[in-house]
Amino acid sequence: MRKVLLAVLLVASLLIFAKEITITAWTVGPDNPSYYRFDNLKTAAERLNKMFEDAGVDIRVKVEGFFDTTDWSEFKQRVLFGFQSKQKFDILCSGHDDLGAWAKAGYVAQLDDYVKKYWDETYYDIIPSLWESVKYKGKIYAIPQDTEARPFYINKIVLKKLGWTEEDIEALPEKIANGEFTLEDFVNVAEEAVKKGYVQWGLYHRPKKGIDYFQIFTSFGADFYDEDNAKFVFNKEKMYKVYDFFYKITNVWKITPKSMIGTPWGSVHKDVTSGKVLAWMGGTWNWAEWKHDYGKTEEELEKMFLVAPFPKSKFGGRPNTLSHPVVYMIPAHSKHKELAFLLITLATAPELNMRHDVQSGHLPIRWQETVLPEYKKDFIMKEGTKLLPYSGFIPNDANFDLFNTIIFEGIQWAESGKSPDKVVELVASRLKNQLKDKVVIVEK
Amino acid sequence: MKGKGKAWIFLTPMVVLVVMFFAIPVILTIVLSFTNMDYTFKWNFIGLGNFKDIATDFVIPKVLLNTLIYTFTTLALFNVGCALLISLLTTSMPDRWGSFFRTLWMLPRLTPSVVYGILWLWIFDPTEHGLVNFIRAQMGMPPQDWLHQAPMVIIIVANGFIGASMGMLIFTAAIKAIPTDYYRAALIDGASWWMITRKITLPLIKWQLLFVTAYQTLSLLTSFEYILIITNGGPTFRTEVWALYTYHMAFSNYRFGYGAALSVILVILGTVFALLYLKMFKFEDLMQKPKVEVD
Repeated sequence: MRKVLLAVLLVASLLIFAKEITITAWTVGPDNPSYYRFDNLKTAAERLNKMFEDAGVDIRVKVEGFFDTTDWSEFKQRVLFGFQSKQKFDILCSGHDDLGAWAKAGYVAQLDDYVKKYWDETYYDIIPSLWESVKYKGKIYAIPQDTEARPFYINKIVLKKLGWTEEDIEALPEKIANGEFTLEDFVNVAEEAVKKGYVQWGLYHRPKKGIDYFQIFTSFGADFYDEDNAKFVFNKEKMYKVYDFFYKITNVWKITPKSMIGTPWGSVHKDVTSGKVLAWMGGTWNWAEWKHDYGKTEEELEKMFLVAPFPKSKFGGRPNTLSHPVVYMIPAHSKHKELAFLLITLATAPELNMRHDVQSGHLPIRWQETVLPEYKKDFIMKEGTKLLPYSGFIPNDANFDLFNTIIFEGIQWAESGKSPDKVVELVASRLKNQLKDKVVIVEK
Repeated sequence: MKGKGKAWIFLTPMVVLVVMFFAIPVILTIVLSFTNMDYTFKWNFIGLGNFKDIATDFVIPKVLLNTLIYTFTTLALFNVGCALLISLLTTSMPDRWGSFFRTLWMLPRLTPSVVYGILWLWIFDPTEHGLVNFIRAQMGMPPQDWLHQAPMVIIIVANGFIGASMGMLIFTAAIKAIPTDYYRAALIDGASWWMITRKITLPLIKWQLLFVTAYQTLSLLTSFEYILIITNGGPTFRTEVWALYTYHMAFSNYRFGYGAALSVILVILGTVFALLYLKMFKFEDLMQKPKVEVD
């Protein structure tokens, strides 16, 4: 009895005298099912507290903060002003493409030494290509949280109506991947499906600014960044073909609605999942969204869609997909960098990361995750991982967002009916006006 | 304490507030417009660089034209025109009915702006999931893309429904303050409703007309929240107005210096319009000293 009392007293004294450190994490979806980006940090804190308790260390860690589901741009605005006003936050979760600007401005801490410290326990196991996405000028500024692929979802039910056999349908992803089935071939199929009234539209793409469009640039072989000189490239000849494609899908072939850009996200997903569209340029996470927010079952989705890389054009380029790893960063002004990094490391445990992947439709960042049973039975994770060899990243350049904005303006012009050669001239002029010597305009 | 000392004691708190929240931000914006401040928040002075960029930015003429169309069409049709019409009509009918119609017009203003904007988006959603296209689909008609076909009309109407209520309140109060003797005399002389409106009501609410016109012009020049939500300036700059372009440059592209330069030009534009109104409405005459001096 005396021993029990002593133990209780000891625990009570630990609880009373333990120093509590609050780590504030600002995390983002914006898709609803990605909430484990925040919750995994809380679980990591629970695990750490257990270790502290077992080791008799009088420190407790509490994770506070938020998981933002509004919009990327609003979240980034909040973060930027948070940096500037030195608001208290110790962990930040955002797209890898933000770290170029934020590292250059000195807002986020360099993490090479921390990574080295925990290399043998955790980081040796990260899929190597992901390290490239978290570097700025050769230094590590973030830890990958997840990755993804942007599959080209094609409606199998519509292909069957068009007379495709099971074998033809099954062979299509492979044909796209090896370049046998091109973007122009797809356009022919889409036109046929629309003409025969099997679908309202042949192709849907995202309705807002974003990085997905860069897949089409790669399909046409239009490189947009010079890594060696850290400058953007706008090749007029290649980009003419890209803008010509956008012009034709809405104005000539009419396989995409002119109102595509600006259509609410909810309406886009309803149309895609209700079979009104032949193909959707989406992401692996859409699979999770369709199940959680649009009432679709795994079986229904597997029956409806095949998953492939985005096709290459017959004019050049390659079949591709695009990854956009979401990463954890540590603000340079955080007073608890060591502890914040430890939490990130614990949150990178394979089983925690896997539950995020399963829940949100993202892909593994560690090899160990690929041997877990959840991975083996998840359709989109398996199919999405197959696309990773075709994957690329957007550059971690401080001015990427501005470049992207102007390129997107061109897409809007082309889709609304402005001639592609005029669009190329307008975009080139605007890029020069806004980005000055950070962009190289290639005439031919 | 002498008169001037007392005056300063009473004035100081307000002067401090005005300096802090009006004068300093204006000065900072002007200074900022001569820098290329970006997401690093560094004050790198570049002289007139931003203004030169604005002069060569080919989107600017389109943005300026949009701003003028948006501001003066909304002003003429709704914020002054519709407001005046509602006030004239609702003050000409029994008060119970007048109040009812005025309350109806107040409803949009009582709706939170984000909710109001999203409602418009839903109404004109280009797919069959939008209200208008859903109704059309029930009648066997194909969906229409209103936001792409007539985006400027939609943002003018969306803003106008909200903007009309302020003028309506001010004009109604002004009309009700006109002594009824004038109207009785006119009616005895056999004047029609139109004649009474033109010869009595409108001249006597000229001050309020000036105020609403000037205030709403400045308000429309700087307002963009509904445009941001409904069209975000698109498609392809067709509804991009000056204030929204400033917002996009400063807070989407993080070119704070460039955004500040655009703001400075907007302030100059607003000032020019305000001065023009003072001239048009003969402000000096409106401000005539009272003929009877009161001690």
